[in-house]
Amino acid sequence: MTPLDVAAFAWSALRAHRVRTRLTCAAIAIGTGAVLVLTALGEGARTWIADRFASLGSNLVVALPGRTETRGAVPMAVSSTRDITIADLEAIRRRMPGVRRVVPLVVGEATLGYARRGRATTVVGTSREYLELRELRVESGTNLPDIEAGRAMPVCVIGRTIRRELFGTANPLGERLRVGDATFRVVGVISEKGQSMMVNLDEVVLVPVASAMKLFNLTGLFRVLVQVAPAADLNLAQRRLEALLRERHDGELDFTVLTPGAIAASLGNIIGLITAALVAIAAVSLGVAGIGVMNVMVVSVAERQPEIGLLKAVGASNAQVLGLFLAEAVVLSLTGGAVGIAGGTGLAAAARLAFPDFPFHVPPWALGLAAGTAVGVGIAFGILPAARAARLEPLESLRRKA
Amino acid sequence: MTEPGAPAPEGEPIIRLRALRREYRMGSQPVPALDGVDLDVPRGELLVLMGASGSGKSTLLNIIGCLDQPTSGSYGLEGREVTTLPEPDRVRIRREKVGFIFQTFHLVPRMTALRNVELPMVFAGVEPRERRQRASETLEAVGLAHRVAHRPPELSGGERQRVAIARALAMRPPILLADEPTGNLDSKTGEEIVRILIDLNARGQTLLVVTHSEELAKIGHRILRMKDGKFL
Repeated sequence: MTPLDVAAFAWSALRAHRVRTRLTCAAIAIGTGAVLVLTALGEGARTWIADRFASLGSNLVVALPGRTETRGAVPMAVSSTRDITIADLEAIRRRMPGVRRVVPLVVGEATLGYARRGRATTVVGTSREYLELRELRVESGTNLPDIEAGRAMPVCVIGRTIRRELFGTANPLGERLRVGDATFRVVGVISEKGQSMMVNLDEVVLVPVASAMKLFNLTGLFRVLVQVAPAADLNLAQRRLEALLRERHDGELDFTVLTPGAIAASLGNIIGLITAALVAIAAVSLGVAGIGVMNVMVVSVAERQPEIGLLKAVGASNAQVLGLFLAEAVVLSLTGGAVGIAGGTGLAAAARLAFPDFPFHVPPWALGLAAGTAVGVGIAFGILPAARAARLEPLESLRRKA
Repeated sequence: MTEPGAPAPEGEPIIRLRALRREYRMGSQPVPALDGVDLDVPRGELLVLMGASGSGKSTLLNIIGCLDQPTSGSYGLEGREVTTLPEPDRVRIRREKVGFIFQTFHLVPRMTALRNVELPMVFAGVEPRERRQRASETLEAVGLAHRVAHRPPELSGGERQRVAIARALAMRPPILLADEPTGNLDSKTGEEIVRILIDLNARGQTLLVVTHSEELAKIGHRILRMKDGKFL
C-alpha cells in the first residue's frame, strides 16, 4: 500500500459524497482562514507599533516637564511646573552613569524664507547628537557644530523637502535662510529617513538648541533624550534620571521620565495577548470544524461497513484500514485547510491594497502552522472513527446492508 | 459421489478439518452453527456444499476463509494449523491463500473494474506497475478486457460477478471460495459464471462452492449436504 494508493482511495471516497465533503471543507477553510487573517492582523499591528518606536531607539529614557499621572495618559500639569533647563541637561551629562548621549529638544513652528520663496515648518532646536541618535547622516555638508548646549549659533541643517522646495536644484550649503525673525546659515542637508515619531524629518530645520530657545523665547526644554548603552537596564536608568532631576528640582516630581522602548515592548505584549485571544477564538471555530470532520467520518464508516468488511476479506490488515480512514480525514481537513490558507492569504493581500500603510502580512510560520493545524485536526478528529473502522469484524460488516 | 467427509484418496489434503465446532450465542443459549465437522479437501477438487439456510455451510466457508473462527476443533491449511494463528497470520491467509466470491459481488462502487481487481494486491504490497498488469490480465481471462475502465454501476450483474472472480484470482490463491456465486444472477448469466468456475477448476484451481441450486451443484466432483451444522 503506497502513500499514493492511500491518497487515491481517500480522494475517491470523498469525491463520492461531494456535498458533504465540500461543506466540511468549507468549515475547515473558515477556521483556518480566520486563524490566518487574525494572526496577520496581530503581527501587522505589532510590526506597526515596533516600527513607530524603533525610530526612537529602544535604549532611550526621555525626560519632559510636567507630571504625567501613571494611571492616565493625560499629562496633569502641576501648578509649580518648573522647566527642565540646559543646566539640568549638563547635570545629567556630568553625573548620570552609563549614559551615551544626552540630547536636548526644543520644538516650534516658524516661517522660513529664502529668496522669494517661503513656507512654515517645524524647527527643532537640538545638538549634533540628535542625528546620531536617530541614526541619520547628512547627505551633504556637515552636522550641527560641536558646541556647548548653552551657546547659540546661527547655523542650521535642513530636511530634504525643505531643500527641494526652497532651493530647488541650487546648492543650499552656505546660503542664508530666514527662520522667523532670525537668519541662519545652511550647513547641511539631512539624508532621507521619512517619518519618525510623528515628525517628518524631511520637513524640519535643525538649529542649535540655544538658538531655538532664543527664537521661540523659551526658558525650558521640550524634551531631554537620554540614550544609555544598548544592554543597559532601562528601569535603572529611569530611576536614576528621576532621582537626579528630583534632587535638582528641590525634591519635587514636576517632570516625567518615560522609557519609550519599554512602552513599545509592553504595547507589543498587549497586542500579542489580544492577538492570541482572537486566534484562540478562531481556533474554536477550527475545533467545531474538526467535529464536522469527525461527524462525516463516523457517517462514512457506518455506511461503508460492507466495504470495510470486504477490504478485510481481501487481505487488509487492521492497521491498513486504520490508515485508509485516517488518511481520508486528513485529506478532508487538509483540503479545507488549503482553501482556508488561499482565502486568508488573499484577504490579507486585499487588506494590504486597501491600507498600504499598515504592514498587514501573513508571516510564513503562520502558513506552516495553519497547514499543520489542518493536518492535526484531521488526525485528532479522524482517529476515533478510523479506529472504529479498523476494529470492525469482517464477517458482520460484510453482511450489513449498505 | 464418495462418502461425505471421506478423506481424499491421494496426496495431502489442502484443507483438513477435524471436529470443527462453531457456536453462536443467542441470549444465554449457545447455538451450534457447526457441530463437529470433519472434512478433507484434496488439491484441485471442486467441492459443493449444499443445505438450507442456517445449515452451517456459509459458516464453514467463512471459517475456511479466515473470516470467522471456530469455537473448537482443528483446521489445517496446507498442513499448517490455522486455529491457533495470531491475527497477522490470519490476515496473510486471507491475502494469499483464499479468494472469496460473494453472492452480492461486494465491489467498491466508486472504483473501476481494474482498481477493484487491484485491491487485494494493494494490501499485499504488490508493485503498482505489476499489479496493474496482473489485474488487466486477470480481467481479460474472465472476458472483461473491454470493461477495465468501467465502474460497477455501469456493469451488468454477470459482469460484476466476473470482476469479483478476477479480484478473487488476483493474488493467485490456492483456494477459491464461492458463496452462492450465481444467487443474484439470472440463469443465463449464471451459466456464464458457472462455465468460468468449471474452467478454473479444470486448470487445477481448488474450488469450494456453497449453493442452494441443484443446477449449480451438478458441477461438483463431490457434493456435501449439510443440516444443523453437520454433513448428512
